[in-house]
Amino acid sequence: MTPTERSPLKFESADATLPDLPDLRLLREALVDASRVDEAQVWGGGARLSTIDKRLTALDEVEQRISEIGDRVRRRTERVMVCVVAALRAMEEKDEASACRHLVAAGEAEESHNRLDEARAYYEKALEVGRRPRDRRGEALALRRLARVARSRGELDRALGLYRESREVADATRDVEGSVIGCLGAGHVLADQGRWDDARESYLRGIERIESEESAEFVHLCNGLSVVERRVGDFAASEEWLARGEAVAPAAADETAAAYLQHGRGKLYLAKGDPEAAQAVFRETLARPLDFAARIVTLLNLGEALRMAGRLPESEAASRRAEELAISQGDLPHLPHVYIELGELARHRGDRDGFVFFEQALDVLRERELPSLDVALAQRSYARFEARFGDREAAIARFRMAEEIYRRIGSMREAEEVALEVEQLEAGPSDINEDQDGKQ
Amino acid sequence: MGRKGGGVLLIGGGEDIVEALRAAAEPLDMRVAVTEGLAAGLRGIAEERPVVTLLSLDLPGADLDLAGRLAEEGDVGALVLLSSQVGPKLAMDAARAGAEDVIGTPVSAAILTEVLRAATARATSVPLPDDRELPEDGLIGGSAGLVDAFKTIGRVGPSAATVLVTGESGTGKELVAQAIHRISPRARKPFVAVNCAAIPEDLLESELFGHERGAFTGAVSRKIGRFERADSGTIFLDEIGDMSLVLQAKILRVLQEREIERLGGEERIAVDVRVVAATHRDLGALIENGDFREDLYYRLAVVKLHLPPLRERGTDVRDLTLFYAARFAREHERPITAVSVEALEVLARHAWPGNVRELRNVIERAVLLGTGDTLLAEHIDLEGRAGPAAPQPQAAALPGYSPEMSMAEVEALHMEQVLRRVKGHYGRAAEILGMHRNTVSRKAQEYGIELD
Repeated sequence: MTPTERSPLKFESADATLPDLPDLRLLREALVDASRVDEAQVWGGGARLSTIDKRLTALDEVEQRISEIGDRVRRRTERVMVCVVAALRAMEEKDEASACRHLVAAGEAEESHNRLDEARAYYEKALEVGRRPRDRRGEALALRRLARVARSRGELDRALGLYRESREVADATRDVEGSVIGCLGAGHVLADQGRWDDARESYLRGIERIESEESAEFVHLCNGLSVVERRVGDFAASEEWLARGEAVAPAAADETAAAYLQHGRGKLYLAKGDPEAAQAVFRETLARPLDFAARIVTLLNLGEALRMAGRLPESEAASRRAEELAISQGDLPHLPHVYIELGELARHRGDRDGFVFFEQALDVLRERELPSLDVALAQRSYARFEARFGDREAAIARFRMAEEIYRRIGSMREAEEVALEVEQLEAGPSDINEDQDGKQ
Repeated sequence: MGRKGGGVLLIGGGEDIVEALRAAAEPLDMRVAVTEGLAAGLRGIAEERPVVTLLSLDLPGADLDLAGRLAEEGDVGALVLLSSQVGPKLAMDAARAGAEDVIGTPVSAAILTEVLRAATARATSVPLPDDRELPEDGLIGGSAGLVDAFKTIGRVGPSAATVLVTGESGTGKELVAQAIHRISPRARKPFVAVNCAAIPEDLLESELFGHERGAFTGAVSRKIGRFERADSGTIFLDEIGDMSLVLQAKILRVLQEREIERLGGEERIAVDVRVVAATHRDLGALIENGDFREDLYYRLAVVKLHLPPLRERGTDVRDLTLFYAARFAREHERPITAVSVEALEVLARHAWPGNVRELRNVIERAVLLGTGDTLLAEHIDLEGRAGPAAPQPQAAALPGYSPEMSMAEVEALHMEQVLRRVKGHYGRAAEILGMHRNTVSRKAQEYGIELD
């Protein structure tokens, strides 16, 4: 090859060349965003298995974006500095409550760029400052922000403690809104842990406190309760909570809350074994003005519903649309879920090569340090995939990894479900027939 | 085939038939040509090249012999006979003569419309074969390039020779590899395929050769690699041109020594595997650039087999279209029984950069999304990309739709939308909705659908 000849790098090669440093996060996102499908492989036999790793980088385009990336970094740094100086000025005036809020704002600027460690540092300082004044609303806010970061990191017990503490502080200062949000946050964490009874109690506490039902918080509480009841199998109660939320959603005028309710309705149809009705709901949700994250989740739900209905080509199309959206928006945290869904599809199709999707999901989870809950989900789905093709030893190993994660983060119900799957697999026939490799 | 005229020709028949025919053809947008006598009628056939020819057997000189000769010549399109004395014998004799239908006169415009519609569909479409009678492997066609490939498969299949299959993406290289395996003495043993481009580089080695538990992070258990799984059988290494040089060296060693070693393992394991490799890349150029090992190339290319691109395979597009339409209609339980000539012409003109795989995907999409019993040109979407189904269009909710509606209400809403779109044309609406025209008319009345 002459020095001037170049072949575009695959994303996997580019990624492997870069050190794993937080400072390169935006550059990595730009590499993803500017990447494109390898046209030469579009009609190849491996096209069905394409993942982000196999996309080709467009370095010329990335190079053009360097100054834009630099501007984003500068704007974030400036924003943080402005907030910090504002906090210091507030301290000059002995206004610790304001200083606390400015430090929270600095943390939010970091969090919006997914710099969670940095965000946490600011929130901790905000909490320290916020504990001093008589106006403790800043303290409650800092506690909720710390809880949110902890939840993003998969530190669920810590997140729960922080949300509960924030609720207590809010109650003590008669901050009703803060108390309701604390109940909502705690409920979500308890739901993450599969502690459905406790989650229900937390959401209901929020309902008791809420002053107006025509609010986004009320809609979210109704959705949370609907999810709880659906997960414990009380579909009638789940339906009732959805209906209550839907009744006030228009007045609450919060598109995100309304979209979550529709999600909930679609998931309820899936739980009842009615994928056709679920599809209709998810398609209707897609017609709403959603942000890209909600759109990605809805597309994945639609893909799941289509898969359950046996409409596999359409399911794949929906998941691939979610993938394109996640890539074009640099939304890497949602990519593992896309690949898990494509892996499920491969399992349904009996496509042994579908293991690449699970490996890709785990890669992204590892590199982005995404929540352990998602890692557990990926390992569990991968385990079922391995079991489908008779790789019992690998399946059990992966189930056990998922179980260990669930136990570590306190999701005991999920852990027990996985333990049961392991039992069933171990008790299964010892002569599992391996999939005939002649067919794919 | 292919009716350039697109109209209906009437030979004989009185004023009442002419009037009924004009009324019948109007909703179908068909041009009507009327001739009085036989001689004029025969000239009309040559000039008009109609889609449908109505021949009145009451015309002096017109009989079943004539009808048979006209049907055989083929320029009449679909031949429909009119007679004032229709009976079972005439119907049977007419069918034997090659007529599509026999109608008793006098006849109403409504009946003629249905007859014209059905005859048009039959004249301008090709019926699907029973795909169960065709090769399951999908290696369909009679073009010179494909026949050469068949001959090579037949010659090399029974041997143990390593085969290198080349051709653009989507030409069917894996199908060829499977065919080679099926006619080899190893047919009852495993056929294991590996796509070397799709599997991440860091996983490909362990996929091929297996690994022991703990050999690397993520090696949660022992894994049997594809070479071992293919023992006594055939391994198909697809897209071998994409393999790294490091792995190429290991493949070469396996070909030379017939042994593999699992990652993290110490034992050398004998494998008896027949290798078929494939690539869309120009291996000669890769060798020149130092990206592919020449010694490996010579080991792989003991026999070379090239698959031509679909655009060079002439009438194979038609044969493949009919095959896949039949297969997908059966798999997806769709009532497709024919493909229109126009659709076949559209497909024949396409360049097919994705070759057979692209064609397959286009046909599957068309079968899934088409309505009625015939695949039409409007069902063919050549803009879609990889994947068996084009991304569904953003499904805006049907205006007025609500999940609280009953199925009847949804049907009524949809029917109204369709009728508005086709400006109240029941025939066109029936095609879109996949139901009989009379059903559309009845339901529209029941649902109280009124268009402005």
